[in-house]
Amino acid sequence: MSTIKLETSDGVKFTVKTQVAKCSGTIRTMLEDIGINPQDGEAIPLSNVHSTILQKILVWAEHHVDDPEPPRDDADAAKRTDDICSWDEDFLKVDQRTLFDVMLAANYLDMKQLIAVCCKTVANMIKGKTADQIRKTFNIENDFPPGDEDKIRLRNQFCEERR
Amino acid sequence: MEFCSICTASFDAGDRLIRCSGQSCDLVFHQRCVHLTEIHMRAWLDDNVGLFWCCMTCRTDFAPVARKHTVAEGEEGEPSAAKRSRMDLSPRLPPEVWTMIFQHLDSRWLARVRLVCRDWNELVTTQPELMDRFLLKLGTAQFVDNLEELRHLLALGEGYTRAEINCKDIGKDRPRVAWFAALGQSLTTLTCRLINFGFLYELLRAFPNLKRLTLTDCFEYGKVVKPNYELNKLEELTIKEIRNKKNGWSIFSTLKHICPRIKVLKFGEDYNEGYNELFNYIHSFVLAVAKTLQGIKITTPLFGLINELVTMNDLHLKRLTIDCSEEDLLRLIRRQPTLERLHFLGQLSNVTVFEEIFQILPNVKRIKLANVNLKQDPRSNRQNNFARAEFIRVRHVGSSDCVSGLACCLSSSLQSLELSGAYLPSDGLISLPQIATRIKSVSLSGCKVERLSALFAFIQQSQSLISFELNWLRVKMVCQTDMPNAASGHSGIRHLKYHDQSKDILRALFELCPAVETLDIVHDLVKKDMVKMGQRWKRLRSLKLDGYSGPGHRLSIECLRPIPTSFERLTKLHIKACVIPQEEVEDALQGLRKEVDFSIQYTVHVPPRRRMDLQYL
Repeated sequence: MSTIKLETSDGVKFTVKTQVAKCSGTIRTMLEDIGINPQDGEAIPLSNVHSTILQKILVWAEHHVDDPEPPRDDADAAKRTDDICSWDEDFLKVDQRTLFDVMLAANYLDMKQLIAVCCKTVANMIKGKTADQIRKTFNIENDFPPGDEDKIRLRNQFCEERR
Repeated sequence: MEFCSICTASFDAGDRLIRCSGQSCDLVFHQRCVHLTEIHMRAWLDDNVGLFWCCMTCRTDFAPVARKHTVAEGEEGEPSAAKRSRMDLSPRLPPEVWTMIFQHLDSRWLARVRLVCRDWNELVTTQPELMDRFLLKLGTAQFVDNLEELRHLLALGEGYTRAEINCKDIGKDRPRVAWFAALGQSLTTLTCRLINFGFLYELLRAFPNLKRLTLTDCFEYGKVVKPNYELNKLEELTIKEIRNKKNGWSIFSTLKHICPRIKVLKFGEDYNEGYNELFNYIHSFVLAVAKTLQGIKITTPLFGLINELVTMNDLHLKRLTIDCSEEDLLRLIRRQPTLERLHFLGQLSNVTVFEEIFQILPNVKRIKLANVNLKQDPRSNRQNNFARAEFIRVRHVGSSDCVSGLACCLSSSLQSLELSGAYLPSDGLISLPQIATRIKSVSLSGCKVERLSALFAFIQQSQSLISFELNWLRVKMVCQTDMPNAASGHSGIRHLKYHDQSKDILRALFELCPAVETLDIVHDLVKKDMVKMGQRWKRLRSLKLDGYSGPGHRLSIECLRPIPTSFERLTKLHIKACVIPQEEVEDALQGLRKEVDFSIQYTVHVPPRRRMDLQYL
């Protein structure tokens, strides 16, 4: 089985099965289009990813390496968030900072399925909360000038769909 | 000379230099290399604190209490405690990632997201695909009772892409067309109810980017000035029920001039007379837009239209909903190999036609047949041409066996199957999992199975099944030994809808489906069922109960008592058609965790009956 080397921002080198590394669109492009030869023994630099995060991501990729391509769904409808598999659910039971770091790294590595499952997790953190609770969850300051918030609330009122 | 620690390049004029705020780090980076967007920069640099940012290495041993404050752009002085805590923990996700997250939320939660902060409000309002989830309602009586208020609301238009105008509520005085200017550019979907065509033609001029237009209950009244502009982006036109038929149908001859690039035409109304006029209007409309037309949905049976459609060489349809005879349907779809979705409303009784529909369309994804009554059982030999459909819905009346017929022409591309009224013999049902190996969702309504054991075997063997719906099942042969053998495998069903009174099936589902997460149940529940549910379905997140499912079937208060203690993961609880006073329900549910989104609905909803027997003209 062929392997390649990846080097993280803090200089840690990982030896990874090529098939697993190819879960990342970025690495796949590097290997296939740009023609970096993995046999050279030279590590691919991943300058935006810290070793602790890459390790976590590789665990995920290893588990999902044989997954079939996801079907393309309609972009219009709100995508469902209740279909996270239980392995992923446990995998993403981490503190918010790590979750965000994983998302940033997945975004940089272009791993669509991992981003999707992270997005669902964060979306579930938003659902069922009031604006105030959302601010508290993500530590965001309410920066609306006085009155603006009420205007948006008024506009929202005209959009309420009967459930 | 300093170099970026990520890309190792130097800093050009105009590059913003980001210095790590870690205690003894001092590394510098390009702004682009560390993914700090302009939104972040604006948020931090505008206040007098400056940027606090740590590189990956420093972030891991970052301790908020002990940190030494450093400022990126020469600003000194201690920041206030409030500002500091905001910076330390600010979400560091770039806007494009937040946008991806918001895509998973519907309008209800997006409304909350917009209230969080300015950036998030901007992120939502500038994304047309997120704004598509809001529907701006103009003229809903509860809000708009005077024109001034409506005008004020219209001026706040900002970014809305969908609007609904109900002229009945707006009253006698018309709003001015100019008031709609704020909405004009962003609006892509418009629904009008009870609108006069004269006003409609004036109004449409304000919306040059309109893509979808729906007209319901509209009418032509008084003198109408025909418009002299074109809506080049209009793709989808839906017309339901025109009030004054013969005058009103002339809208087709006007619209074919102002929207020449229609891709989808939907039309349906109940009518008794004027067949020839309606036929002529629709025929000439279709003829005028045939080159761009990709979808037709005409629920009114216009018998001669098929003959005309068959002869149009320009026509390449992707979607078709039509009511006609089965022979005509076959003639039409043989000439439309591009068809992706087919919804046939007419009666289908010929087995050969039934099989051919599934086999001749090479690109088909979804097939719906609304009225099947096969005169004989389909051939049982498996064909070479398999259906490629991903979604199949068959509404079957009559007692012949359509499952075996379906099984003959299905393939593994099938993901979703909905059957209603069908008779399901054991052989056909058991053979399905071997053919439809990737099926995710199955719905059976008003079906009749030969034996329950076949149904249970089907559930156990369909390993890919995630969603299962069972409504009012009938059983031909009831046998005590038909209970499932749990040892021969569990099902992965996570979404279950169970509207049935059978205790046996419910008991079997407890055994077979340990992974249920969302449950919608209409059943004569007793307290024992609820306790069992709590023991068996530990992963249940969403529970929908029915308060009143018919005379003598009312939800008892005793059933509710175990809920707060039984389901640890519950996040949503809904009781529909509730007949117990709210105080009593709340009393019974004492101790329900705060995170649970709990709602009660008190009105009894009676679904309208669909008219089934259409007389052919």
